Amino acid sequence: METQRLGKPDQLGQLDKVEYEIFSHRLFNIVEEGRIAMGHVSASPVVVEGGETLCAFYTPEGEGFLTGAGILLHVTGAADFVKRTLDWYRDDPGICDGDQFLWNDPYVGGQHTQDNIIVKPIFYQGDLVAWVGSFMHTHETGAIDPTGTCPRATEVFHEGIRSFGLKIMDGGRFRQDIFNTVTLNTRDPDLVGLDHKAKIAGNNVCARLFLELVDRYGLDFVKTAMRKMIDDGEKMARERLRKLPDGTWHSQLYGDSSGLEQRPFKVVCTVTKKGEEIIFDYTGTAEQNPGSLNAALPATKGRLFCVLMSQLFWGLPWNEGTVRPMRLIAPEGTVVNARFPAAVSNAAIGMGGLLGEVAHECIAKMLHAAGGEFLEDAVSSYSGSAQHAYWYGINQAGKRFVGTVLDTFSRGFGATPFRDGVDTGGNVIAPAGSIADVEMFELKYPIMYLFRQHARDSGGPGRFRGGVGGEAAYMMFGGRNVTMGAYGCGLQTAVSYGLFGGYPAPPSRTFAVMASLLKERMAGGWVPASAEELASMGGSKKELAANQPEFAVGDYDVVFNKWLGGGGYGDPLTRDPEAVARDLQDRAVSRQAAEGVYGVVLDAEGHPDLAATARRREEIRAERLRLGRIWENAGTELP
Amino acid sequence: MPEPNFREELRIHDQLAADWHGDRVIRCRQCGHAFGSLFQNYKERALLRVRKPWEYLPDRRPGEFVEYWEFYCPGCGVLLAVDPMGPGDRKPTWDIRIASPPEE
Ligand SMILES: [Zn+2]
Repeated sequence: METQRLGKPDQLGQLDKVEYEIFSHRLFNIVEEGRIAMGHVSASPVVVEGGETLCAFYTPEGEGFLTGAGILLHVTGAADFVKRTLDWYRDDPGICDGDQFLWNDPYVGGQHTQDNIIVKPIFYQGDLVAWVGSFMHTHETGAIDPTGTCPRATEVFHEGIRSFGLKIMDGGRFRQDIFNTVTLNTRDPDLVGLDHKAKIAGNNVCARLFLELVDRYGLDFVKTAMRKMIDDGEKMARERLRKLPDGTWHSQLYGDSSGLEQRPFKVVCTVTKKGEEIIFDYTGTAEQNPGSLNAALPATKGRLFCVLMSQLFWGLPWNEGTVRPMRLIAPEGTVVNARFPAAVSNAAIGMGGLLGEVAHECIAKMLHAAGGEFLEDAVSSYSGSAQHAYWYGINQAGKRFVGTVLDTFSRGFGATPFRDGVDTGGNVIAPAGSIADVEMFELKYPIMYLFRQHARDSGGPGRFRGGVGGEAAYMMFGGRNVTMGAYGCGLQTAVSYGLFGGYPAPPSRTFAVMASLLKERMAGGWVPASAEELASMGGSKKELAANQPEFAVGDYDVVFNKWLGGGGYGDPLTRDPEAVARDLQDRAVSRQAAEGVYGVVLDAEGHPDLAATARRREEIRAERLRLGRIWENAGTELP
Repeated sequence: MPEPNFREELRIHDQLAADWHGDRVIRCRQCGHAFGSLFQNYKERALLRVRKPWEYLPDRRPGEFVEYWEFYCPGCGVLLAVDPMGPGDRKPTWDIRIASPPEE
């Protein structure tokens, strides 16, 4: 069993409070400026629209002291890359002014090979005073399967080129030989190359502006402020933990794919909070999978950080001090701490949702028990696993492309004790991101959207319901030799929880309709607008596996993808019948669910019959009392 | 919904509370049904019904891998928890164990 303590306490410095505030805000603006610079240089949709970028500053020893908004998964993982650069390369080849090191090994840091980071040491008058890192999720790694999140991988060696701190900038000189090697090994060297140059640009912007700050404030001030940021993070985290009850909370969820085949596996988290400390213990979690549905330890740490920052420590500094009161227990050889060389490319999309949501459920119940100011933070599930479809081939401009669906970044949010979850609210791991721009997507790829809309019944029912996720249909058009596949988790299990009698969000769903009558029907002016209408076009229907190896698709073949909503809160029978009627009208809830799970009787126009609803709900409660058995007394025969 | 006050009740769950300074018995906030001690799993004293997930939805999924264990209050029938349970799961998970309320 591996036990890891993140950081240790240190001394606080004394600084002028006003100057310190100005300094830290300026620093935050610098990492924002770095992130924006990256967005201008990059051309990949996952960066430009998905927002999967991040700039962060580290102490000379590699401890993160300030992170920008961006993809929160990588705050801790990026620090690992800085520390490893120091460990491995301090003496040979040396760490010099003007150097930048490219990394993407998931056993060192990050989530999977797609996570590329370039770290740059910042020198002031000859001394190493800080590091800056620019992170980006890259859409292609030259792996066994396109994208780099691999339905067929059984070892990390299948998951694409891995870089171990290549000096892509060497004393200020751009290394074309290294650049060519890391880009020409992928299926999309142009976009991958721009991504690498974008990270160099992000680092350059951040380092230049950081040095201006050093000039202005003096090195002593800056060094003390760096320490203070980390120490403040820790102090504030401990303060918040003290306000919460002591106790133990437990959650479990099931994944539905090993990566190679559809099969269930369990992820378990037990959270114990005592005084100012909190332990996340994944003991009881399934053994590592033979396919890519695994996380190496850095990925688990990164995901947990993301959950902590968004759910428990929101409003606190995003740095390593904030997680010092946290301890992670992730047994080696399980899906949350896979042994090298296990395939781990599904750590971000498939595993991340699972291991994040079990921790989130425990946190939500702990915050609820704290009551008062924390009650509204007791949020149901909203960042479960998704499934992403991808395409590979020659696009309408004759160029090789790899395109991935980004619409699942608009997941429904979880319900709270006071309100419904936000419909298609966003992606908690990348708060600055957005979903795909339809026009840009169609411009780059031989794909046309037939529809993209809120998905009925995709939020978990409850007194307050989970926000709905979305659904979209993508039609192939104008490409050559196009194949498609998919990766992720959560088609046969719901990677989502409900709180206190609220239901989890239903699973995602993806199917393809091939060789249908769509071309003829479209010639007559008809365009399908729902999954049901897609099913009416004839042709052959193929339900995709969570991790679907590639198959060929041609013009007018369609893929339908429905993604996850948020979890519900409280017994659905206690939901206001008028709210259910509104849901029906808004296509958020089907009539079948309104009547079956909410117990709301609606007339033909969709108005609730309050008296009949009260009777129906009484019947459902009576049925529960009649059919339920006390577990203690049920013996082996469960009702 | 009133905010919990730890001098009166420790709300361990949206529907369940215990008097920390009194008998420390978990009770239903709707009907007062007693689930036993704060230091026992309330689910073991709740009504359990095992259901297929998503029975209520128009589009059922093929080959779902889990069952949903639904727990109800034996007094009033309010739904307390919906837990995904797999092939090896034999007893209710113990999701909430309060050791002590926050410092007042
Ligand atoms: Zn009751």
